[in-house]
Amino acid sequence: MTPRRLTLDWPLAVLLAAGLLVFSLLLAVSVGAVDIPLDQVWRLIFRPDASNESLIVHTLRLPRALVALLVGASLGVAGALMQGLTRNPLAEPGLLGVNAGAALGLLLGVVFFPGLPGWGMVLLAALGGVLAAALVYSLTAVVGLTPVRLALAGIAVGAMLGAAASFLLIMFEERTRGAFINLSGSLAGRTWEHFWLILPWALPALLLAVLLAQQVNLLSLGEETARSLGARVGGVRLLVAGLAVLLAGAAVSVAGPVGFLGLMVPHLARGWVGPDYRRVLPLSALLGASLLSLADVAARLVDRPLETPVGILVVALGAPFFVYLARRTGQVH
Amino acid sequence: MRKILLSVLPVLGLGLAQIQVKHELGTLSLNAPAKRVVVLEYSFLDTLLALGVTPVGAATGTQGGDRGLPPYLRARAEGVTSIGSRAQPSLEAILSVRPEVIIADAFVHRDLIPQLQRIAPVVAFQSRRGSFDDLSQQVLDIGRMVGKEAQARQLLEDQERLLQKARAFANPKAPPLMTAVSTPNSFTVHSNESFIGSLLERLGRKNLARPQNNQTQYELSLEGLVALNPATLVVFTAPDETPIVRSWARNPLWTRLEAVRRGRVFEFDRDNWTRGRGPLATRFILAELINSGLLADKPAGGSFAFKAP
Repeated sequence: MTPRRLTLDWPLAVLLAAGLLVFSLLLAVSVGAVDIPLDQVWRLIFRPDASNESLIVHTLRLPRALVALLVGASLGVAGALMQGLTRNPLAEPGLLGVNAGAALGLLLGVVFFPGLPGWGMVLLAALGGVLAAALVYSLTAVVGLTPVRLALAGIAVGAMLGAAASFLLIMFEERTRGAFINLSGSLAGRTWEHFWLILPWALPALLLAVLLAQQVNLLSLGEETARSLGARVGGVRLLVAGLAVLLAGAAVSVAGPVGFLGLMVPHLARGWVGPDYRRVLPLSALLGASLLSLADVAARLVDRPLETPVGILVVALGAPFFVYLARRTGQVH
Repeated sequence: MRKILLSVLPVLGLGLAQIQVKHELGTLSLNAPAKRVVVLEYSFLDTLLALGVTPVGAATGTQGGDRGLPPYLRARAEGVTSIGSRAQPSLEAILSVRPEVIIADAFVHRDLIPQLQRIAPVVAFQSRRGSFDDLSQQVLDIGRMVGKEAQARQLLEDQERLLQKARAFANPKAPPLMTAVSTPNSFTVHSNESFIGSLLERLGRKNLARPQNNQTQYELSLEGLVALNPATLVVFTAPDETPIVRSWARNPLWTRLEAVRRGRVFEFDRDNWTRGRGPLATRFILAELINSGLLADKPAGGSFAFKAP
């Protein structure tokens, strides 16, 4: 048995996470090529005026910051759902190949169905994610489902799909160039258009995920136990998996594939409040949103005035965490 | 006796090398003008064609997303053997044209140079990151390499006269301008030390952008553009692309730019203006510069005015 870990009070954890969220939003809105002091940012957010600063906040920084929050929350919750569903601490949309599948789906849409509306692209991304996840799952099922094997198969499939995406980018350069997708994941230049594209998918899916938290708790106990406790395992499983992939697909369709965020965030949340998904899921949303937002601020500062794709920064943080987690998971066996 | 002769021969050989050209990797020594030259940048091709020399091979292909020959150069470069693209020159194709010298870009082809050197001596110049003065010096160096030094000097003299003429059009009181290449995904500022930036400064138009982190060219966001707020903006775009700057023009911030308010947003073909960089390109640029009214700080008009979405 592992020793009991120190966890935070639930109200305190929510307060901290919400505070972090507000702080990261403010920071994201105040950092840029033009220096706008924090107190002025506050004022401009709620009382826009005709100044350039106000326009910069409302047309450039706010939409980008809000997109970062939504994408971060979606990836955090998608990761938590996948970890609960597969009872695998290494599960997350990046490692299971879902992000890569979604990106490939998106690129196929851009190349072969260029007239598709925005919501069609989101669905295509989700479909790509579903197919990738199914492939990874079936590949692993053949040799026996262990967490590390699932992650390895996910990485392999992800690399393969990533290669296919690169192939499309190179072969159909003319058509993909306007596609606004960066295979390392980026939030540069995101506008209200992107915000309204992801909101109608991400928000209901996030709420539904939180409502389903008790079911995820049951699933995470294992199929036998869940069934004996009266859960309709098959249906719930499908619903949870669908939600997770939809969240990841929505995130990829506006930001490209951002790996490892969905891995780190749920573990961080569990470290704060313990394993109960009724708490882990909302906290994953808050922490995911804050972390991606902060990473995006860092991505803007690392190589000023150039922008580093935020996905590269998140991977730099997440990859060592993955190694640590994989080692710990390996030792349990 | 024979020993002495053998030891003297190399010295004699060195003495016979009549042509010495200093470049980024050292000094090239040639006993006779090079007849078979391969060039890996458009500026070198432009220079050779201006000197009346046809290279045995040039990087004019479109492999790896290169856009191929700039329109102004297309007719003149017809019949020049393509040895791949600037980004992906084919070593096999270069080998098959048996060059005596390969002219490469010191920045772009840095990693490729050791392999090229196994085929023929490589001369490397700063073309992509070079200033107008760097590229003019290269005209002279390339002229000497191919035995056309007199013609090269003549070219530069003619060019200088043209510059003087163009300078007369420049309005000395015009505020600083900004120049940038815009692709569908990027807006790259060309500072006062870039080719086009330094050429415009030569003609009397100051550039607002200085190099950053030793980069003469760097990307900027709409917010960064608003922060610098140039009074004249020159964007280089391609007619077959939808540059990102076109979507910026839909943002209300765009109309706040001094250049937009003054009607001084100019648009030129990025292939012709920023990718040729030789004497022929310079002639083309000077003609469009004078016609567009940019030098005189007149409002942008006709086909040179920025095409708002």
